[in-house]
Amino acid sequence: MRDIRRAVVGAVVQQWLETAQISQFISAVIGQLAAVAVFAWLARQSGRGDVVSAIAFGVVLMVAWRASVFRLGFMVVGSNNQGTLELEMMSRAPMFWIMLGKTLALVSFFALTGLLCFATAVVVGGLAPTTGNPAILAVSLLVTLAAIVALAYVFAPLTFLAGGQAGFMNAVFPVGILLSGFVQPTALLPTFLEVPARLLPTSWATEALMMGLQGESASAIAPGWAASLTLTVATLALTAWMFARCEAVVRGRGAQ
Amino acid sequence: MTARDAVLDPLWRFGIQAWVSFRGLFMWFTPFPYVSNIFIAPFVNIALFSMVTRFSTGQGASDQVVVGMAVLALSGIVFGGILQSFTYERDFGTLPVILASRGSRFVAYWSRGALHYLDGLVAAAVTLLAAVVVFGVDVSSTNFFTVTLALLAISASCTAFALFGGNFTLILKNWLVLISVTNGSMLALTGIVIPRDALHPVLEFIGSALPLTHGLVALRAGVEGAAPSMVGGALGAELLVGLGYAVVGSALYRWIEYRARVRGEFHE
Repeated sequence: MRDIRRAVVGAVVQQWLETAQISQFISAVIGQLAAVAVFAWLARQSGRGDVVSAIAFGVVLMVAWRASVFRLGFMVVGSNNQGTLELEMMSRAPMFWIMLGKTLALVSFFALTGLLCFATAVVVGGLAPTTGNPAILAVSLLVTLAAIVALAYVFAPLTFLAGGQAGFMNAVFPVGILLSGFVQPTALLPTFLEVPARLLPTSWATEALMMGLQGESASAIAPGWAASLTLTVATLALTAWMFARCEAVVRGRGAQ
Repeated sequence: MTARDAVLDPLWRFGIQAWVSFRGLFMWFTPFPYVSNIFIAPFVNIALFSMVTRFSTGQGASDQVVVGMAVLALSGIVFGGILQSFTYERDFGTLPVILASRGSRFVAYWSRGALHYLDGLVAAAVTLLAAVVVFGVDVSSTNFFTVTLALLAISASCTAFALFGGNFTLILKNWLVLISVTNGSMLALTGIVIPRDALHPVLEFIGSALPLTHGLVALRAGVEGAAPSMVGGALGAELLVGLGYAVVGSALYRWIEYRARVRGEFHE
């Protein structure tokens, strides 16, 4: 247990030092600012503070998820290509925990960069954001961040197992944003999209977040938190299984 | 000099370079990534913005916005393809070979955009079809000749702009930031979602110098039934923007060659 804790902490520190650079900040923010401004402009047309709030908070989470999944999606592939994957597998700590530490660092950093997008959304939205109960908001944000960690992390082994082709992620981004409900309620989706969306921990978390911004009580929101946390654990379990598959693949054919 | 020497051989070399650079430097040209970028991503982006519009206004996105988002697929695939081609040309070590060759730089430069021009048209056609079938864009009065001319002009100006941007990827060795900036600019400043008269004057001016802006006006007018003569100004402006980037981009490419030959830059 102590080894795993050390591995996670070490991975967090290593990834944070590697990621926390101006160039990474600029790269993550620049790419999203235009979309954030457009979403905020659309929210402004509503004339409602809760819509502006929902999109302002939503874009922070959207930026954190998108930037993290882009880097995580090719992390295992990159390690394989650079010849360090086998070294990572020789560690006594399972790869799952090492990569989880890196995921935590990435999501944390890009959530911070998302604050600039929050400010942009509020300015362009032109209305004061509503927050509802601050304690409920804080819990909702934590639950959503956990869901984002899980939904980003799953792509680390998935991209490797799928062959790691360039351009693989370009369809993942809009599908993930749409089904997760970062900038629109999941309930607005047509049924054939809402069903797969409900399998994602992020859709329940963002729905709970929006309910809190509209002033709903904790008792009304709690089922959404519970559903999100359950799916978060399930997604992490799936990721652990896929990492075991990654190790089996590399041990069977060797790193390529 | 025979007709073969004057015409056929240069065309043959242009075609070979266009195909080889497309096949060798366009990393998205494998089944799943290609389908993702041509079909899935643009379609889902239209759905995403339609959902956000419905959340904000209570109504779905207008036909104008849907058409604009559909054409955004054209710029996305053209920019993505050409910018990465320039970057990988340097990364894979073939740029020095080109610069050392006696071949025409004009051919080398423009051949890298040729097939991406056609690719952009494919993406636009597919996404517009989806816009009609799935999102119910009304084409009962559409002038398809105007729409075709608009798409041809937009793809040409986007290709010229992407080639111009490709020079910067040779200088910076990174195409990801550049494609983020260009795609974001297209979305926010060309009138696809936010009307251009709602933008700050400075942003409106920048948008007028971008590809897609003027062609989109012609395209939307064509969807509503306008004849080509009624959108000649917009089409002309779109082509003029493309011509500007074509001239500046070609000159910049020659400057890069000069720096590479004289100072040994851009070869690592």
